[in-house]
Amino acid sequence: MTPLEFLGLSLALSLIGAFASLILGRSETLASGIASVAGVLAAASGLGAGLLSLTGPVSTLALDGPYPFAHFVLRLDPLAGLMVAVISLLSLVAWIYGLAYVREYSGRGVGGMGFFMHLFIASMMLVVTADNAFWFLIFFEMMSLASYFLVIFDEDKNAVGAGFLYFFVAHAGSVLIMAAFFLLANAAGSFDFEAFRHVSLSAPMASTVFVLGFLGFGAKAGMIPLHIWLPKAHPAAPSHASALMSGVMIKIGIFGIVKVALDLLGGGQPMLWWGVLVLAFGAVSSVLGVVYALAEHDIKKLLAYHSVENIGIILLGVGTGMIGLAEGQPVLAVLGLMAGLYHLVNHAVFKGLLFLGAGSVIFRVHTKDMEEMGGLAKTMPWTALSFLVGALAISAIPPLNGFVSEWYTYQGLFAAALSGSFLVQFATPIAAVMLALTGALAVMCFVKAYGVIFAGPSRSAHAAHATEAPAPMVTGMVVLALACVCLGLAAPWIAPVIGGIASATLGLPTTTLADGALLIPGAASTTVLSTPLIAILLLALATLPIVVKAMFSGTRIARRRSDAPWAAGYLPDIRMALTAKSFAQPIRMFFVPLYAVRKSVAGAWSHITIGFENFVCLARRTEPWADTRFVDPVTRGVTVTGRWMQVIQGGDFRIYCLYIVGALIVLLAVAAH
Amino acid sequence: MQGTLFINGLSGFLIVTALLVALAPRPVQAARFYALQSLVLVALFVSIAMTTGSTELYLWSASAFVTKVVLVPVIMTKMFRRLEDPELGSGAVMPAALSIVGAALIVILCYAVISRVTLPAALPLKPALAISLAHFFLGLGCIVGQRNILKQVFGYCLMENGSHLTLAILAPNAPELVEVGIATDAVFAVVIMAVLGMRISKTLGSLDARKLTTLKG
Repeated sequence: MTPLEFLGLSLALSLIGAFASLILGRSETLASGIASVAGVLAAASGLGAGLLSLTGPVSTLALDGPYPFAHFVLRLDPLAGLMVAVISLLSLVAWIYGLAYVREYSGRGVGGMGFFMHLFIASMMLVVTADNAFWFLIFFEMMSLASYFLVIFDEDKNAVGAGFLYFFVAHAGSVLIMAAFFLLANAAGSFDFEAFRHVSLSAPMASTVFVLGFLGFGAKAGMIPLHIWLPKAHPAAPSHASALMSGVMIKIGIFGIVKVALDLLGGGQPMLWWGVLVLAFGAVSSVLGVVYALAEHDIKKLLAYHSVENIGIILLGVGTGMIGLAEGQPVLAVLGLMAGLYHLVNHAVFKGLLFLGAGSVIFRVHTKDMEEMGGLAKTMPWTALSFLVGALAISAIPPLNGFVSEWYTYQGLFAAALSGSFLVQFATPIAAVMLALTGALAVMCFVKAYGVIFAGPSRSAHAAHATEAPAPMVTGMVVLALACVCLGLAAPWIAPVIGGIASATLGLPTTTLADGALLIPGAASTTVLSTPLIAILLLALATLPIVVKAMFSGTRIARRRSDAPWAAGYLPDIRMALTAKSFAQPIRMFFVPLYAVRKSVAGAWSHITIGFENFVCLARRTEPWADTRFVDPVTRGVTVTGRWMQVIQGGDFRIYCLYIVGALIVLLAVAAH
Repeated sequence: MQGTLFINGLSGFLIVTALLVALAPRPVQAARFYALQSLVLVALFVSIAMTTGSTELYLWSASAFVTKVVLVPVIMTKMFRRLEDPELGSGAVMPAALSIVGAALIVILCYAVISRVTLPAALPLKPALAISLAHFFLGLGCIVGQRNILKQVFGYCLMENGSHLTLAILAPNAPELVEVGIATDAVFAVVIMAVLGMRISKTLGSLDARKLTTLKG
C-alpha cells in the first residue's frame, strides 16, 4: 500500500468511528468500544502512512474541488509524514487509554466525546497534509472547533470560560493565517500551496506574510504572550484529549510556522530577523513557561505551562535553523531545524505521557490539586514509574529523548554563536543561557511534581486509598514511556532520519548528524554524544549500590533503624511534609518580576473574558426585558380573563340553569317582537 | 266555549299550586302540593279531552293520575322523609313575596310571547298555553331559586308538568307511545334523582346545592 492509501484508510476509519460513536451514543460501552477500536485501527494505519513517507518521495493526491480555486490536494512530504506519524502515535495511545478512562465521563455523552475525538484527529491529519490554502483553513477550523467541544466537555463555568478564550484566540489566529494566505494567493493567483512555493514576493510583502503567519500559528502553538488560553483550555479537556492537544495540536502551530517560513515562502531567501524573532519568542516562552509552571499546584495546569516552555525550546531550534538558512550556513540550518523537529517529536511523546499519567492520578484521586495527592508511588506503581520516565525526559536527563533534542538545540545555538553576524553572535548566547535556565527550572519543577504527587505521605483519603489505574490506561502510558526511552537510546539512528526531513524541508543537502552510536552536530571536531553509552554507564552506576550493599550488609544490617525519622522532637506529621507551594516558594520570590509580567499579560487578556461576561450579562438582561414587557402582561391578561371565566363556570349547576332561563327569556323576548 | 274558559281557569290554578310546591318549607309538604298540582293537571287533561274529543287524552289523564298523583308523591314522601339539613333552613334564595312577584312577571312575559302565536289549534287556549310555558319557567326558577337539592327535584317535576301540558294543548291527538315515554320519564327520573339526593346527603352530610361544588374532583 502507498502512504496515501494508508492515509485514506485511516481517515475513512476515523469517519466510521466518529459516526458509529455518535449513533450508538445511547449505549456508552458500545459507543466507546467501537470508537476506540476504530481509533486504534485508524491510528495504526496513519502511523503506516507517516512512517512510509518519512524518507520516501513526496506523494500527492490532487482532485478537483467544488470550486475552481479549491483543488483538493493532499501532499505527503517528509515533514507532513513526521507530523502524521506523531499524531498517529499519540492518538493510538490516547484511544487505548480512553478505553478505560472514559468511564470517568459515563452518563455525560461519551458517544459525543468519541465523535469529537475522531473529528479532531482526522482534521489534524488533514491539516498537515492539505496542500491548498482553502482546504487547509477548513481543516484548521475543524480542528479548532472539535477541540473546542472537547474543552467545554465538562460544561461547568471554568470549562466554558476556558473554551471561550480558546475559541477567541484560535479564531483570531485563524484570521491572521487567512490574511497571510490571501496575500500569498493574491501574488500567486491560486490557492494551491504548490503555486505559493514558486511565487517571489518583495521583501516587505514576504515579511508581512511571515509575521502574520508567525503570530497566527504562534497563537495555536501557545507561545508567550499568545499562550493565555493554553493553561486554561488544556486542563479543562478530558486527559486523553489534553494529551492530544498539548502533545500534538500545538505542534501544528510549529508546523505552520515552519511551513510558512521555510516551505511556502521558500521562493525567496528568508530574512535574518525572522529567525531572530523566532529565537526571541522561543527564549521568552521557554523561561516564562517553566517559571509559571513552578508556581502551579494544579497538575494539569502545571503540565500546560510546560507545554508553553517546550514550545519555546522547539522555537529555539526552528529559529536557529532559520538563522542558518538566512546566513547561508546549510549545516547550521539543518542542525537547528532538526533539533526543533526532534524536540517536537519528543515533546509530543513525553507530554502525552505526562498528561496521561496525570489523568490516571486524577482518575483515582478525583482532584487536580497536587496538595491533596502524595504517596501514590506505593499504590500506583506503574503510573508512578511511567510518570517518572516522562518527568526525567521532560527535564532533559540523559539518556532519555528530551536530553538528546535539547543537546542538539544547544549545539545549534553554540554553532550559531561561533560564526555569523553580530546580531546572531549577540542573540544566540542569550538564548543558550535562557535554555540552560529553563532546563534547571524544569528539573526543579518535576522534582516538585513527582515528589508531591508520588512520594511522601498521602495528603487525602482518596490518595491513601488509591489503586493502580485500569490496564488499558497503564498500557497507554507504558507504550509512551518506552517510546521516550527508545527515542533517547536510539537517537544515533533516529537523528539522521529527522535530519533528512529537515534538509528536505529546507531544500539543502543532508548533514552528518550521527556516526555509529555517536551523535555528531555537523562535524565531529566540536563535540560528540552517545546516549547508548550513557545508558550503559548509568546502568553500571546503578549496580554500584548493590555492590556496596553486598559488601557491608552482613555487619551493618543489624544496626539499621526502621523508626520514623527524627522531627525535631515532634512526632512526624503529614503537615510537616513539603508541599508543592512551599517547594516553589523561593523561586516565586526570586522571580517576582516575571510573575508580574504574567499578571499584566493576563490583565490585558482578561479584557476579552470580561467583555464576554458583559455580553452574557447584557443577554441575560435583555431576555427578562422581553419577558417583563411582552410575555408577562400577556400571561397576566390570560390569568385575569381566566378568573372572570371561572365566575361564569362556577361549577354550581343552578348557575347553569340560570343561564338557560336567561337564554330562554332572551329568545322569547326576541320571538315576542 | 265554556270548556275553554274552564281550561284556562284551571290552568291559572296550576300556577298557584306550582308556587305552593316551590315555596313549601319542607320536602314532604312539597310532595303533597305536587300531588295536588298533578291532580289539577289531570283535571286539565280530562277537560281538554272533553273539549277536543280526543280519546288519547283520556288515556293520558289516566296514566298521569297513576304516575303523577299517586306514584311520584308516594316515592318522594317515602324517600325524603328522613333527609334533613337543619343548617340549610328553607333553602330559598329570595323571600317568598319576591318569588310571587317574579312568577307574575314570568306569566306576563309568557302571555306577551304567546299572544304572537297564530297556530289554529292553540288559538282558543292561548292563556292555557302561556301558563304552560310559564310553568316550565317556574320549574327552572325553582331549580335556580332553591338551594335545597330535594326542592330542585320538584323544580324538575314542575318543568316536566309544564311541558306535558304544552304537549296536550298543541297535540291532543298524539299517540299513546308519547305518553308512555313521559310517564316513565317522570317516574324513573324522580327515582334516580331521589337516590342521588340520598347518596349526596349521605356523603356530603348536607343538602345544600352550593356545597356540591366541593365534590369537584
